Amino acid sequence: MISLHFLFVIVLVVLGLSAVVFKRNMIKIVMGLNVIAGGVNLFLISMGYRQGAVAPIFTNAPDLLMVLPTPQALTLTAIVINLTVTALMLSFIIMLYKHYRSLDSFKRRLLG
Amino acid sequence: MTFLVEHGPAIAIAIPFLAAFTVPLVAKLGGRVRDGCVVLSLALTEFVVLMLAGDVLANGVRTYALGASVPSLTAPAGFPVRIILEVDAMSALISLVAMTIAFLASLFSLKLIPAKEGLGKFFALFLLLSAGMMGMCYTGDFFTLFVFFEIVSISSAGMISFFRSGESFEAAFKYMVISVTAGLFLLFGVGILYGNYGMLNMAAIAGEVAAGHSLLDVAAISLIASALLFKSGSFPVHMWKPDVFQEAPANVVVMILTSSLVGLYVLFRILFTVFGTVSTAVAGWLIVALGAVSIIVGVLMAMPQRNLRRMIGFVAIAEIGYVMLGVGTGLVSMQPVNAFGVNALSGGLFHIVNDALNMSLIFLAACAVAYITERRDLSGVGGLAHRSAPLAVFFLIGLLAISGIPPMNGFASKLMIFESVFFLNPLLSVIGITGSILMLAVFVKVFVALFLGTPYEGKLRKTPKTMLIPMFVLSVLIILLGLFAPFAVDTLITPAAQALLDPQAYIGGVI
Amino acid sequence: MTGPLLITASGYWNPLVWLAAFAIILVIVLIIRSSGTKRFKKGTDQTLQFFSGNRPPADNVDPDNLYWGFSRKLERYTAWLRSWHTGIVNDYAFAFAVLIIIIFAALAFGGVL
Repeated sequence: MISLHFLFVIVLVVLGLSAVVFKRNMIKIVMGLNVIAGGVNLFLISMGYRQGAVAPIFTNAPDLLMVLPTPQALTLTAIVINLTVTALMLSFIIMLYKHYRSLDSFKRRLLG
Repeated sequence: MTFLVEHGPAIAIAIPFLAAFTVPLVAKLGGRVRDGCVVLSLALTEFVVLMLAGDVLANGVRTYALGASVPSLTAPAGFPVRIILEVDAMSALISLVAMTIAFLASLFSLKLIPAKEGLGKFFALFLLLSAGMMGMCYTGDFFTLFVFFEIVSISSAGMISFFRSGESFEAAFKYMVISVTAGLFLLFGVGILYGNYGMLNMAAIAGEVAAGHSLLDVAAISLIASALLFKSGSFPVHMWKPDVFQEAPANVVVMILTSSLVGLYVLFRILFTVFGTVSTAVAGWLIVALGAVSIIVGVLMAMPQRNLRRMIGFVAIAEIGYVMLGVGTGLVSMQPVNAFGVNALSGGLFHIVNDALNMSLIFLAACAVAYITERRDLSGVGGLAHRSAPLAVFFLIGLLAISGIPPMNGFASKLMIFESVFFLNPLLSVIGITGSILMLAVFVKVFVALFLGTPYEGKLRKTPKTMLIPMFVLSVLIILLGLFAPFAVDTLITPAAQALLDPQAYIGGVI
Repeated sequence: MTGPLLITASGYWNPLVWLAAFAIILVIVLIIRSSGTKRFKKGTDQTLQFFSGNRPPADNVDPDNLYWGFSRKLERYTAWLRSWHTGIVNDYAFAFAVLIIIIFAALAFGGVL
């Protein structure tokens, strides 16, 4: 029995990957990567969800039964990393546009 | 000393990290202070890594739980809770290789790059990359692996674009796109493993795998393995390698070459240690097949290249193929372990060391030629042996070592691989030997064109000492490892191979 | 006397013995070489490359190009390989996706792990 959010994860990852593979505009490639990242983050966060569970704060937990905070920590780190990576790639695109006057990934000089 | 060894895994990662963020500040005080800071921090790390390796080879696995009151307190409730670093003979070996190359590359880079603005930031990235590689070597859990993987990718990409030409931005962008894809799928795989086992520690998961593994594990391992194969640049995700080799500064190329070997090590760690108890021969055959195709593609593509750096990039792909051939054969014959499997595995691991040394030497020599002639395109250069004999000697040593000519170290490891892979399938040996011969052909052509023939007429710069020393050290290491190969294999490689073949020791370090 | 041996699966290798053999053969080669004649003269036709008695072709084969014929014969295969290496970033990502599928298929159909 596959849950609905796992289906969404797969849809997002496949959509993002297809954008990376088929889109020629470099900015759209970066957007595709962000869609994959969204899918993966959704996957991680849905992994940590437990129905009726309590946030992992000692003083708030009634009988010391709490959610394991690992997936949330993973997701936060992944989001931060993804942000830096996106910024770096977009700055590469700016510099590439200055040199090549194009955003087309087919316009390349390194080949063969 | 005991403090250094006890906290060694954390210190070896912390020193380059700290230095990375102090170097841009220290750089304000002047070039000499900055250079001294970089070299000193890497030398310190090298020392710690050496101490740690000696300790691990003598006393077995060493674990380090970050933030615990006692570093060895990994599982207080029978369940690993903290971020755990784990060093065994295999990770000690690979970290030793990585740190040695990083240290020599930092020496080489002191004079290589014209002292413009931003050199402090460049060294910050360089040290970050070293720290990332140390982290990948020592990490004992999957999520930290992802973080260090991304650190390596980001800092490499930043340095690839250092020369700020259109081509270097193109190479950096391509590298970044594919490494982000790889990193995200690695994270996806890690998430699947977490969902399956409820923890992220490699050793703990390895302990659980034997009990209940399913198709989900296969999905996770295929995602993680392809991400790590990308990092190591094997076929069919090898295309970024020639691009990067062509455009990045020489010291960065050497570091990226080493980081690809570290990626390969992590792959082997996961295949042997985490899933070793349940792996069938198929996984090994997959690695063997990818390695064999990498050799063929790398060498055949290197033949027609006009650009020397790009050519070495393709040869690097083929060299990765040899490692995969040897270690893959070890994985095929892991259960039950047989003699040729152990030999192939040691050959592959020995070739990791040799690949790092040989490729670094030949690439540094080629870049030193570009430096003294002050041109990036070497097509009109020839007859340099008359005017710069040391460079010719270094290039020749690297060439002989890469193509596996006795008595260099490349011959010893390739002989081990060829003669043991033969028992798996004779065709694999044929592919390996043919690739080796073609490599010799490719490099002899380059050697003749660059160093023999009519002497070069143009002006030559002097080769700085900071370039000659790393190349000299690399040549000495190559010759010593070649002449005393049996000794090196006995002391360093065999313990590493045993560590891979016996997952229980690694698991026992944590639980 | 021989020192430690490097055991490969079907034999062994001892670099020091190889070095001794190399030294002996080198001495023999040098003895043979010293008994040769010294008729080489610079700047004469002697130094030209031999091309069946004709003048060497200057149009397409560079005298430095050691493997002209060799790479010419391999061109068929390398041209096919080079056509893969398009240098387009989309193809790199596609190759990555293909690799994931290959590994998953191989492991899933070859028994679970």
